Amino acid sequence: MTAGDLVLRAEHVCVEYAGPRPIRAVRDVTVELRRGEVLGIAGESGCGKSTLAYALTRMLRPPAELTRGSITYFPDGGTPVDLMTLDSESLRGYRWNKVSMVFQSAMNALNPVTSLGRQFDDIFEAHRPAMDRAARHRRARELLEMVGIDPARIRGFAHELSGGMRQRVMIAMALALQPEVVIMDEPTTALDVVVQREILDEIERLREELGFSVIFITHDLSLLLEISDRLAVMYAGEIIEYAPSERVGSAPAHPYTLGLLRSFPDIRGARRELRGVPGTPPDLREHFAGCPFGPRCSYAFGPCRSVPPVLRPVAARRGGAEADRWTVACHLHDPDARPDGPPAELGGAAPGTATPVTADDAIGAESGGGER
Amino acid sequence: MSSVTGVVQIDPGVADAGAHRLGGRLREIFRSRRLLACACIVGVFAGVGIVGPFLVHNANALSTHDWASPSLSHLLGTNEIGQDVFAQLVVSARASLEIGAGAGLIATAISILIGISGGYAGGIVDEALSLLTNVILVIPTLPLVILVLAYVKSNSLLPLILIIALTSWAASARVLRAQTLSVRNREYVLAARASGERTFRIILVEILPNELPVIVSNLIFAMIFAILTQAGLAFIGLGDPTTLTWGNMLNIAYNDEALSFGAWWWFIPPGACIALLGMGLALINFGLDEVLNPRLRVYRPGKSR
Amino acid sequence: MSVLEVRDLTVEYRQRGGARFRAVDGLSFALQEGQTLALVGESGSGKSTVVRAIGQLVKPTAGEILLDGQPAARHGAALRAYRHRVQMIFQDPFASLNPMHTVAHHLRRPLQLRQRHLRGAALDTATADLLRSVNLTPPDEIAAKHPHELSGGQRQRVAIARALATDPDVLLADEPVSMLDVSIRLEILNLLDRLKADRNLALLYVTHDLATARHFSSEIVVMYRGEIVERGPSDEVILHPSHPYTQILSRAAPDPTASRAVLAAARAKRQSARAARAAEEREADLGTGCRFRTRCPFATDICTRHPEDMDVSPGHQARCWLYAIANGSGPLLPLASPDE
Repeated sequence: MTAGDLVLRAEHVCVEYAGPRPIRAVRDVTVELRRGEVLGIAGESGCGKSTLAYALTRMLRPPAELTRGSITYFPDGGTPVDLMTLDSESLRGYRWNKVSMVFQSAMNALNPVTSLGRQFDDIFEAHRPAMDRAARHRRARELLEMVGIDPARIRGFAHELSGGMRQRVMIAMALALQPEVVIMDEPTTALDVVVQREILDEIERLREELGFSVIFITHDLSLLLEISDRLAVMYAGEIIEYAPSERVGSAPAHPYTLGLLRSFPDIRGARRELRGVPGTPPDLREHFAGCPFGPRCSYAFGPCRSVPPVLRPVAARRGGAEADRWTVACHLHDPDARPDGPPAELGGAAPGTATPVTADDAIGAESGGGER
Repeated sequence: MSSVTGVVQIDPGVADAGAHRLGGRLREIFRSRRLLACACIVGVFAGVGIVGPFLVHNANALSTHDWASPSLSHLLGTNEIGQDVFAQLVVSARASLEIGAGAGLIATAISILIGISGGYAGGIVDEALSLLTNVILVIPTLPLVILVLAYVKSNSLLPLILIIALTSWAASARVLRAQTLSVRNREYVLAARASGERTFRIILVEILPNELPVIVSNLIFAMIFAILTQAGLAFIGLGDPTTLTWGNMLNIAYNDEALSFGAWWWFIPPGACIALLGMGLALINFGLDEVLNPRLRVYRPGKSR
Repeated sequence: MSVLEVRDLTVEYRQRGGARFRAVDGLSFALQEGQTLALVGESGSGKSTVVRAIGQLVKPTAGEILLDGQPAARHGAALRAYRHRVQMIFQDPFASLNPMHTVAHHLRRPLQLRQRHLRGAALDTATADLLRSVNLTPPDEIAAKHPHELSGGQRQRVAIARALATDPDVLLADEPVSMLDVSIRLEILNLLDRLKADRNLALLYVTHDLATARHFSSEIVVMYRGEIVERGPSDEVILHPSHPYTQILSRAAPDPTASRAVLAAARAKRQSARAARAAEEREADLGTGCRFRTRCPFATDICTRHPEDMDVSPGHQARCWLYAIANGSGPLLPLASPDE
């Protein structure tokens, strides 16, 4: 599925949780989603990715609030809509109709005391008042069948289903109104690897059939490399790398991305020394003087302590057209700060060569940074 | 479609912090104005109960000013035989608080013992204790207390306290049992078992501290219940007629037809005190809940917390 | 001789309505000193129940647990002595520490249980040593903290320190890193590995992640619905998965190095395989046949008979009729290549 034009854009979004010491969960984030594209957002706990997801659907509740930035939705063949200007009626027309969400834990999002059919009814009653009871029932059964669940389950309850089946029901609900964008927040984290594989295949099949775009949020970077077209890596509320997925796996630009990749040992690869990323994620109440990843970074040098890096395009010697739009927030890629370019394993090439290196080669070539 | 719960937790550990640090909560208590107000009310009653009787006229002193309405010399007037109503009110405070605190503490202690032991032990012990709890729960308290009191003739408050305590522990015990069943399977308890800790220590050190919020809440409810029950009993003439309590005052006022005499200063203040103390304690309970469990807090934008 | 051996372990639960559910069925394996055995399976496979049974938190319905060749004690002081030697690390770092107590409390109790006379300064030193051994420094600062003041990784380290406090011989780690952030998982696993080597522990590593199972263990045992369906040296089992279930597990893991075309082809293959099978299997009692047969692409009539353990190669066994030697020749059906 090739990406088309823009369908959703968030620009300079900042989200804060109010309190005696406000938590700045999302700091100046800009992402774009194109039609038919899968955008992956990778990051660990405390990086702000879920908060960003809720902001995109304007589902933030106090004490969280969007303090800066704009979120624009581009309807197919219509005028762009600034989501912040929508009143609650139009917002309802936007939510679930155009952009829907699959939540992390189905057991928390599905109502345990009403039947599944009733919950589908809720969706239709709220957004498609014209539908009569028979039509709603029919459509609900269609949706269940579409995600591979026996339609007779419509009368059943959430607790009667297994984890994988519940997640499918969530997906069916998200697709009920044929939205253009589906945001999935860790949809497979709580599931076994086998069921996870089934759900992912299901999502891919539905995407091919119905043509919606997906924002897929997870901490599992290896998963994103497989299923997403582009991915954004978040750390401490900021996007630190924004790249085409197919290339970032072989030669990531940001040291954190490299660390994350190395945290997934290759099941079939040779045995090697396995290392993650030492240290802990920073407190989001703090203001960072330099790069928020600096204290944990084995490549940190001069400017990292005092100058916050900004997203800048990755060196052109990587090849690829302008359309690849690969940006990274790291001083290693700043030609002023580091004229020689980044180290080999982060995309820098020895003079004369331009071939990307594989992650395994990178481990061997690495000159052993400091362990913390 | 069920709605999204608003609070997106960033770090579950941080959110739980407040719930479990009783010491650090004292500062929080002073921040909640409602809680502070109620604590003050109860504090005033406690203060009055402790020192009050030394500061007022003799409550039993007869005088010739019968049925006097409130004045400077008798702040709440006098009753039928010239006794100072205000003095009586103050002295009653002490008795009522004694009953409330005494019965409440004993009832809570029993409920802890039975509820937690049953919940942790499981099996036949749990079944037996549950049966006992349910039987006591089902028996109507007031008639039982009336019956027992009719047999026990004593001049002190102690039998009354004991009886109220022995008939009111059951509801708390059930709650604690349910709580214990849940806490028992938490991993830190399993870890303690796996370390080889003895059962008694596990209950005391691992389980009990986690149930403190519920226990405090139960204690306060038990106290309210005791005060109200005693007031009710005294009003219908049971219990110790010589000890001055608010209930007694109401009983005497009723019998001496204070209503038809229009002596509002006699029968309204005791009732008001009962109500006020009960309300104060109940609201402390709710306020404490909010403080101890951050998830129950209602977010008020613009207010500093 | 193996430090801990499990023979024919069976754990049954009674469900509503009186039916019995067998979570663990006739399991046998052994843990060796200084080595890690990985127990791999999905949720529902019974692997957590196995750990709890060995940790004596759950009573086995049948079978034996042998510590140094002797049957494990079930009561009293002997049971406490067993507990000191066989320690557990739980999955959830948030739940396994009591939120009301400090780190110091969590470590002091097991230290004192093992050495009754430990008090005062000596106890403090022992606590500090434990914290240092799991890289939690400075120890005094950490010891005074409460669990909610620590990160997930730090909490898990405290849990490991607590397990080590009684100087055990066997460590049972039940999915120790699956609830931690990805980037710190390897650190914790490396720590466990190092501690195992330093103290010559027998480590049982329970997980659903094949990749870390392979890299951190010398032997792998794969469980499905309460049974061991494959066992063998780690590299062998991962690189040449023999039981159809292991093959599915191995293929389900994301493969970041594969190209788009390869992934699309694999997906198409899976879709058609699924379409060909009957719709969702249930938890119903499957009778006496192979429990995997409803999901198995190679299932045939013979699978209604419960398979036995068959040798695939020296040290490598699979419980599947595919490997029955028929007429002295090779396996019944061609081995499915994992690269397919």
